[in-house]
Amino acid sequence: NEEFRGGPGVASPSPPAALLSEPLSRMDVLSEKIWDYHNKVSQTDEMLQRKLHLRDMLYTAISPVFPLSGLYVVGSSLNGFGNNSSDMDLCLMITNKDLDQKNDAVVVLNLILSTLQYEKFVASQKLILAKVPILRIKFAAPFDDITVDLNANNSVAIRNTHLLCYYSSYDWRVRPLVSVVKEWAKRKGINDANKSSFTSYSLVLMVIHYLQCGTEARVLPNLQQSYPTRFSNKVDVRTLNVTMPLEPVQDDIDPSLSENTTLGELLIGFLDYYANEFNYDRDAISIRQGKRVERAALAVRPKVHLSSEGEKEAPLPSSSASSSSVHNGIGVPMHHSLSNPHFWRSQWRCVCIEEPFTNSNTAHSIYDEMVFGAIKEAFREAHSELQDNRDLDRLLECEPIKASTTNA
Amino acid sequence: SEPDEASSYDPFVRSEVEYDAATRLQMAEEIASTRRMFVSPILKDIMVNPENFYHECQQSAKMAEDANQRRQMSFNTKREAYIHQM
Repeated sequence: NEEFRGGPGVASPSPPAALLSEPLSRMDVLSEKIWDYHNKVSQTDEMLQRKLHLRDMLYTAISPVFPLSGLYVVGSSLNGFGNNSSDMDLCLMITNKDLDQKNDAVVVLNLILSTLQYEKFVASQKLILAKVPILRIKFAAPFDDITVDLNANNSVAIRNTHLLCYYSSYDWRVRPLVSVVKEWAKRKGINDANKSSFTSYSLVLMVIHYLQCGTEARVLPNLQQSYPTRFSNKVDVRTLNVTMPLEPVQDDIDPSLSENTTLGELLIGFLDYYANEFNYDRDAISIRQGKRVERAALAVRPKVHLSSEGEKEAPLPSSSASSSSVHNGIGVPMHHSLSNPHFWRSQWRCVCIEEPFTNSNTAHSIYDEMVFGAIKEAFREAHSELQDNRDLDRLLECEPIKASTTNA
Repeated sequence: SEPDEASSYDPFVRSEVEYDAATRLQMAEEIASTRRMFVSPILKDIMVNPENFYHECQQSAKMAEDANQRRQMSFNTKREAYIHQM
């Protein structure tokens, strides 16, 4: 053994005893690597400023046609989980009511398209007809590296951006953990809703759920429970303000306990949780409830109410968000999925992650049993790899899963 | 004298054009009809009587400053946590 370590006759000096003791070894290489990786890829202040500048330019162009409207930045650009290559999602707010996404939203986006075609900073536009229609805008230099996806009045995106923003900065370990998990999933080929795997949003919810209830000492509280008025889906989206700090409330998080878990341990724990602990057949992830719930309880609850946001007569007290924002998976209109119980159930087939405001399944794109099996296998492999070697580079040098429906 | 086109281009200069309600509605109706769609009564009401939905709480300068503060905060708490973990 000695020969392998230092060459023949050269015995490696033993490290000082102090370095081998538990307290110091907690400052581990893996945690530092995760932190460094996060700082390398996360959205810079400069990128955010350019995006906001672009948003303001778009607003200037749109506001003559939609005076008094609001152009809200949503998604990763503002929720704290963005990386530097993130595109920008925007939400044009024009009403407090549900805007019909099949006709009205398409008319609105077409009107914007025809307005923007005269703007020199806009290079190209494409209207994407989906459950929530999107106007995809590309720009001339110096903004040619940013793509904007604009929706009309899909207000739930403003709510969950606001909620995730507070989760992302609740504890310094949340964002680096998400950065690495997203990158691992991307390289593994399981961060792509088009290939029947996870969206980034689902991955973020999985990390938050793990930090809420999968660790020995809780790292994250349930913000919707601790601050019912701030994160209610009844709050007017115009008043949501991420610069307002959360006033301290009693929760069951013991900071001195929680802080003892290192970033590296949290990453290993995350992979362990979804590889070995989480029972996909029985459990669903609910950020809103801050715990695992029985998936049967979520899947049998079709969202039949089509009431407007803010209206008080929503049939289910826990769900009043706009029905227009509920994705049903494969682009089939909402009323089809509601009238078809098989379709509804299929949305909850493999992985169940409850959207914190609409109570739909954000992981509905995973409906392929083959892909689902490969995803579970990927978690198991990644967990044993990282636990054995604690080497972030090796974890990220992984091969994509083979069961992908489009790669097959 | 007329300024040349390139130097007069400033995206922050708000459009001189402020369409009135009738014009906005007409624009929407033209767009809708060329695409075999229609302006619903709800949309018509939004076009004619717009309500204020301006992103007051999401103004750019505030958002940029806030993101910077969060970053500083995470650096500080990370440092403190590592000292604590020692």
